[in-house]
Amino acid sequence: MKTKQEALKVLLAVYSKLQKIYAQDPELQDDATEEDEKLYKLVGSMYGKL
Amino acid sequence: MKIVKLKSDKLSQIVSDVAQKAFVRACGKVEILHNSIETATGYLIVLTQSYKDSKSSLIVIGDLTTTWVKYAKELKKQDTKNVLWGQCFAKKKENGITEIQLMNKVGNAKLSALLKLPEVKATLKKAKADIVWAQGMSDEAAETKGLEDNLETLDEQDEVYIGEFIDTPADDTTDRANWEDIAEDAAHIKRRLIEVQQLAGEAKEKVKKELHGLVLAFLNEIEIIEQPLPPKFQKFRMDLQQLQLKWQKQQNRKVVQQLRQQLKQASLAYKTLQN
Repeated sequence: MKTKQEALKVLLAVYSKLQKIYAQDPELQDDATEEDEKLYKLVGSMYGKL
Repeated sequence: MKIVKLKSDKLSQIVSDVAQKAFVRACGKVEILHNSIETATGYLIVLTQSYKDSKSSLIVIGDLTTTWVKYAKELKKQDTKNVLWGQCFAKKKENGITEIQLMNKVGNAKLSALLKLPEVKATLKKAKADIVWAQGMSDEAAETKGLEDNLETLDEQDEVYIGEFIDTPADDTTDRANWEDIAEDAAHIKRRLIEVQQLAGEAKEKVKKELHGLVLAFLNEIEIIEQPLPPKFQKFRMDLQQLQLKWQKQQNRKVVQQLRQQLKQASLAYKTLQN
């Protein structure tokens, strides 16, 4: 990842995969740490803004 | 077979050609209707018969009515060597010639003499026929005892029928038309028979197809019927399904952990580049 745009692209691609797998099985979110949840929500807010 | 075109008491009023044509027509039927001793019919041969136009021979084939037998007896009284009558039947030979076989006789006319007559030769040629003595008979054989009386089997009513053709001009178109009708009917029946055979074939195929369809449907029905598993196998199947779900969940957890890790790394990379 050399540019900011490339890094954002990867970040959103990973977030999208995680969102799909949570949709299939919401229980998978149960063992997430606070840090994980915070990051997930943050990227989610960015994903919504795009 | 009836003698429909000739009447004995009118022979002197018709031309010889009429009698000859009547014989030709009779030859066309005698082999079909009277082809054995059991189905024999009558015959009358007169070597010299007076017609309107000439004196010529007479050959009549068909059931002899009382009138015809009376006429034959009368002729016999005049000259026994001029007349011959009795019963006959006919067979079709391989060469297509109808062979009329004379079985018995009354009178002493000679068949050999008849067959030598030019008009008889011509008529037989036209009729594609031949006249012979049946086995055991000959010109020299004695008259058949009692035959004269036996031949008189038909009643007077028949004679009305027999005489009805005499006044009509003689031609063989009517008979030909009748035979053509019969041939047409036979062809029609044959065509119908072929149609029926075709229909039967189609019906057979239809039944085959339907049966095939039924068998397939039956087999398919068997395939979709689910046999309930015995209880211990049902539990085993449920356990297996739960295990599958558990394993899938574990796999998903691993994937989620990896994705979370990737999300952290991507986030750090983004922040670094942003700064």
